Amino acid sequence: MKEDARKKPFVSLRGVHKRFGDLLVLRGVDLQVAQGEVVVLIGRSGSGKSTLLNCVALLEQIEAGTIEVDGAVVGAGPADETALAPKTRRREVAAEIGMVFQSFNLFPHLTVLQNITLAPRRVRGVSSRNAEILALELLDRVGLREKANEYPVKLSGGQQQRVAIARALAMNPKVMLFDEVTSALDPELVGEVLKVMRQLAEEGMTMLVVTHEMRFAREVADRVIFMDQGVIVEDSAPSRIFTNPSTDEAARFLRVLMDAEAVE
Amino acid sequence: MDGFLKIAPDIPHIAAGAWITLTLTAVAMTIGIVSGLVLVFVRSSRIPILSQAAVGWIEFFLLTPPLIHIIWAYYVLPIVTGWRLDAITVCAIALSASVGAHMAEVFRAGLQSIPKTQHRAAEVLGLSVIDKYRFIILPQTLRVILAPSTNVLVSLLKDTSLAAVIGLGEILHRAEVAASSNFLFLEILTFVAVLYAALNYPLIVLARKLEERSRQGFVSV
Ligand SMILES: Nc1ncnc2c1ncn2[C@@H]1O[C@H](COP(=O)(O)OP(=O)(O)OP(=O)(O)O)[C@@H](O)[C@H]1O
Ligand SMILES: [Mg+2]
Repeated sequence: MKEDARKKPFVSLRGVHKRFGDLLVLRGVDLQVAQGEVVVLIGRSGSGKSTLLNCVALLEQIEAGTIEVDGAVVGAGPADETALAPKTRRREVAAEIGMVFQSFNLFPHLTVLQNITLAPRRVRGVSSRNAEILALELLDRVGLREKANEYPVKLSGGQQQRVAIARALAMNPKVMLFDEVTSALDPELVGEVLKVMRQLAEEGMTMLVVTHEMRFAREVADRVIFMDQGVIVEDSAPSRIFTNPSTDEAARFLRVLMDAEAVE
Repeated sequence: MDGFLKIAPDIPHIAAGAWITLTLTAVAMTIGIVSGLVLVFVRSSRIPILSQAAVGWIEFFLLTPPLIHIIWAYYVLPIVTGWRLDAITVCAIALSASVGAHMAEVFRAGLQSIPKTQHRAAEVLGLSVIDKYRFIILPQTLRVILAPSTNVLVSLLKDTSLAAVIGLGEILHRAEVAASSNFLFLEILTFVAVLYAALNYPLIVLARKLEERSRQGFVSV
């Protein structure tokens, strides 16, 4: 039973195309992610990694193809529109896709607690009291309970990013998307955020992670995907892609990354 | 110094004109804020004709002086249409239109100053468009626009003196009438300047306080 659930794709992209004006950014992306799987996305700047996550998070409308999450078609190009789940179902699923950004994006006029409780209260109709209990639990998990009543500006980058993760988790997401969440952090703050992500992965969260933290990819990812010019060119186990990548592009890109890491 | 003592009998009548000045300011600011909101809303419309009309309207009132609108509405409109509006109505309409255009710009700049990432963060949590604006975008915009809005208010209060040209009995007109009978122009106009300064001073202080607060309140990251 459990085996079955693991094999069935939980997030599924088929032939996804996305363009910005004349620029075709995603050129037919196919990707299946099983429940509980952690997939790390790597690739050069401009290869379309953020765009891919934004499409899954329904922040961008795609031009062709379909995006399915937990059995509901949530995104589709005009040609595949008939496959779309009804609007209410789509909105439900959308609220169950959590996303964390490079620039934290906490709401600066709200306290940490309010940042976390707003969506559960407004979108799910959870009572203020219950939302607060849940928020405090989540803050415990990310080690920031004592910051509940602070405003974001008083927090370090690493702390803000952990609050952002807690805020996403408060919606009880089925999938978590992470877009270079440690890239804007001072090096000494990266560890505390990665630790929270690691813990999430261990608890069985389905995760799509864009990152240049190769140690995280090696140790936590089930699969590493290499994107180039809007398509997936390599999709393998971390052990394989790091030792024996099947494409020259991936090999070249990884060499640069590893060299950079060795210098650090 | 003598002259200033001689104008003492005129002071109560001139100062009483402040009620008209303040009423006109309050009316034009209120209508201006509402029409400014409507204008930004229409401007962001997806129907090109509507958004272009809003832009045209805003630009016209930004680029042309309110004095012209007052004179035009008071002297030209009756000739063209046959309607005659009384002085205070003309001033209220003309100044509201100008304030509306300025406030539309203030609102637009305020909304644009909120980073796109704030919209995305709200959307990805599943907030509806209305909730996104109500809880995330507008509260942040409000902080940003308080200081520039107060500046619009200060300019408006000074601009109400334009009403004097069509004989509306606000501060300046009463002063002119008094001065033309006793010829104490220097003294009376100095008093008028002090009176405007006194009315505006609290607003300027408020604007500075608000600006200070919005600068140190939070840094959006
Ligand atoms: N909203 C947009 N409008 C126009 N072009 C865009 C937009 N968003 C992204 N692009 C373009 O799409 C391409 C892919 O961008 P994307 O952000 O997905 O790349 P990325 O792989 O995440 O890069 P990075 O590693 O720098 O974050 C880039 O050329 C970018 O300039
Ligand atoms: Mg990116």
